Amino acid sequence: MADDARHALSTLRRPGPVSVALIGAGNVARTYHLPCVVAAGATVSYVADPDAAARRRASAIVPAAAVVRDITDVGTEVDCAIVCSPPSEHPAHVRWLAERGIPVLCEKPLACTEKDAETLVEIARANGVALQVGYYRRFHPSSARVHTWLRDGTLGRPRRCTIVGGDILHPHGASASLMDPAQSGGGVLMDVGVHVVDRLLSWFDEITVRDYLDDHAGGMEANALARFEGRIRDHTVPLTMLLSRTADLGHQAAVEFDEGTVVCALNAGHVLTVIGPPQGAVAPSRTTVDTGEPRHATDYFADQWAEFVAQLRGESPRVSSLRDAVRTTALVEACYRMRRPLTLPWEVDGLS
Amino acid sequence: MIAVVGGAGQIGSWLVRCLARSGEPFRVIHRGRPSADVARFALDVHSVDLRDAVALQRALAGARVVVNCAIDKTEAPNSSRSVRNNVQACDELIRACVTNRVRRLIHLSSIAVLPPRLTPEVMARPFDYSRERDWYRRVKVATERQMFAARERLEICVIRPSHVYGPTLAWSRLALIRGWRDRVALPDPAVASRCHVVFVNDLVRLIHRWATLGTPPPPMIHAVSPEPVSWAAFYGEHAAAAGLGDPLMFCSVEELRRQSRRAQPSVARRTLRRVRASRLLDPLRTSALVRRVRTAARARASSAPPAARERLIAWPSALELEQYQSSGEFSAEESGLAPRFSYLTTFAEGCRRTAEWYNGRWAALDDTEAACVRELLRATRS
Repeated sequence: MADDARHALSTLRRPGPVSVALIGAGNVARTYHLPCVVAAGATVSYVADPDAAARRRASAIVPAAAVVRDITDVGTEVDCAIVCSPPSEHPAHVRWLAERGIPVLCEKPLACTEKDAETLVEIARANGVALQVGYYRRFHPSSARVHTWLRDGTLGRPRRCTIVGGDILHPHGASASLMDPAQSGGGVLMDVGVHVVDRLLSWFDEITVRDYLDDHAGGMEANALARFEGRIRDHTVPLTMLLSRTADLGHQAAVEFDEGTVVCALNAGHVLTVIGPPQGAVAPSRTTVDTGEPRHATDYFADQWAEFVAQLRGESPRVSSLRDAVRTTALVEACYRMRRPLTLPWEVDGLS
Repeated sequence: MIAVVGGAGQIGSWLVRCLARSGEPFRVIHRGRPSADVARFALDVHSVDLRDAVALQRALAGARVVVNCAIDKTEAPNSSRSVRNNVQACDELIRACVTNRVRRLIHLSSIAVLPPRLTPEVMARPFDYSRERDWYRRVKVATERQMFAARERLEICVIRPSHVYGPTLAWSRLALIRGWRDRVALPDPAVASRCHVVFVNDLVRLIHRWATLGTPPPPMIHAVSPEPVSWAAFYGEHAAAAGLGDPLMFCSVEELRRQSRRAQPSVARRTLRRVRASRLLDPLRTSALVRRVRTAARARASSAPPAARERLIAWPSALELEQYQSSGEFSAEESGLAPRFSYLTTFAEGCRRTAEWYNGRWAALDDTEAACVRELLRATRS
């Protein structure tokens, strides 16, 4: 990573505001990346998207940007690029940019296969450009606090970790590529699950997939259950991850320690609750941990952007990890490889 | 081949799952994107706006049976526009079915076409339609009339499902939300309060049966489970199965009526709602100011002290109160019961399955995992 940062320094071509090309102008690009890039004083020079409606909407936010259909129409004079295209297109887009010496902040996941992800890291390294992957939830202070507790023994040794991530995905609210397996590379695991796997990688030294079940039937999975094993030093912890696009489960993680359970909201970076063990008939105590002021998701995107810009200026990343981004893709790929069918108990039975 | 129109919708997606498992050749026709349920399968999917006659004709090519589960909700706030759009879509659908020589069209209507208080007298006159003015009832009445008018040109079977419940469905979600958040005010147990329900699996089995059977279907079927279920049981069993405690509260009908009148929005508020639904305000609705006000309101709501979010009483609306006083029973023939079809899912079993969905209690979780997930869901929902 330090090498990346050093190489990145040489890629920052001119002083003044950073000039950005936005590749893919879908929901995430318009809702999160564009506002925080603009707020940070960067100049969006190009917006590339094959969809005319997406181009039009992005253009309304950054009217001065040149709006183009294809990445090949993007001028190579930009200082960096944000890739928000569908995951299946990340390899082609990141490669195109890196080979032209343009540093890249790529939306998650870096690629759909470990091989592609490793190739992209190699290409970025070979061309001396910074590459960062958009796992913005790494910037949640609550996540950092759990990372510390897992190691310093404040609450004893960890025993188990359970994560649920689920809400009903309304098709009208979803982007077209999200519901197309050829573009998204997978279903709920590839979309929501990568954030969870990345978080687990940020908490534990090593993660191994033990079991994976989902309800895919030729298309893309809507419900998935994965079992991992997390290791911290010589201690292993069973991890369970339940994901859904058809049930409102909320987004929470619970890490059970010897002396209490930590409940961490996955979507809100400041929400952390410690539940004490039950004392006989006395109900377990609940303590809300202060991890700072409530912040919006856009604020964490801004933190992510700041870290990326710092990389352009030669600093090493403090929070994001390119190695973990590749490992996340590898773990997701391993899950899909060992896929077993998940039978939903409420599904149709007994056709008469 | 069976074409499911509206196959990404609430009922349509369940029918798609049923057909995918049955091995029957079928095609999904829907507007926009597939739902997560439907995207699980590798399917023959056509994205078509029903009002696009050419695209619809093409999508129905080769279909022997068409099941229409579609309803256009996009203009829901504006009743008249919504009726107009849906009628136009049904017109095109009937025309395309006739042109493509479709053998049978099964149209999913609703029990909501009848007056909300289902007494034996009301049920004796199944074509005396509801006079309620809300968009859903008006759309369902208008499209059902269209279907009956087209029976000379096409074999049409209208299925009127009662309150469809089950995982992901609106009625169950309402029961679970109210069970978790509110106290549900219902008429005293002495008052007849029949709730006509059908579990979603049974409904799609009924549709499947009539889609695949060679003999002509009856012109109209009420999809209603014969098991007697009261409104108290509807809310109570959903809540009990999901471990939400007892949310029920009983009052006299007079008291409920009084409270319902009090809870009814004032003329000013209704007018405001109508103005808001108008297209004239589109630019204003998306303005930065409106967005700021909404964000502030949401922030206030989320930071409200727990005491302010204690269980509220869900007083029935005037329409709900009428529904809560239903007493009629459908005969076996009216409810689609026949030698080759019966409703398999008891209400208790249906609620249990719905609760499994709601609580993330999936078959593959072991006991320890299930306990952890339950705790997490409790933390999320509190």
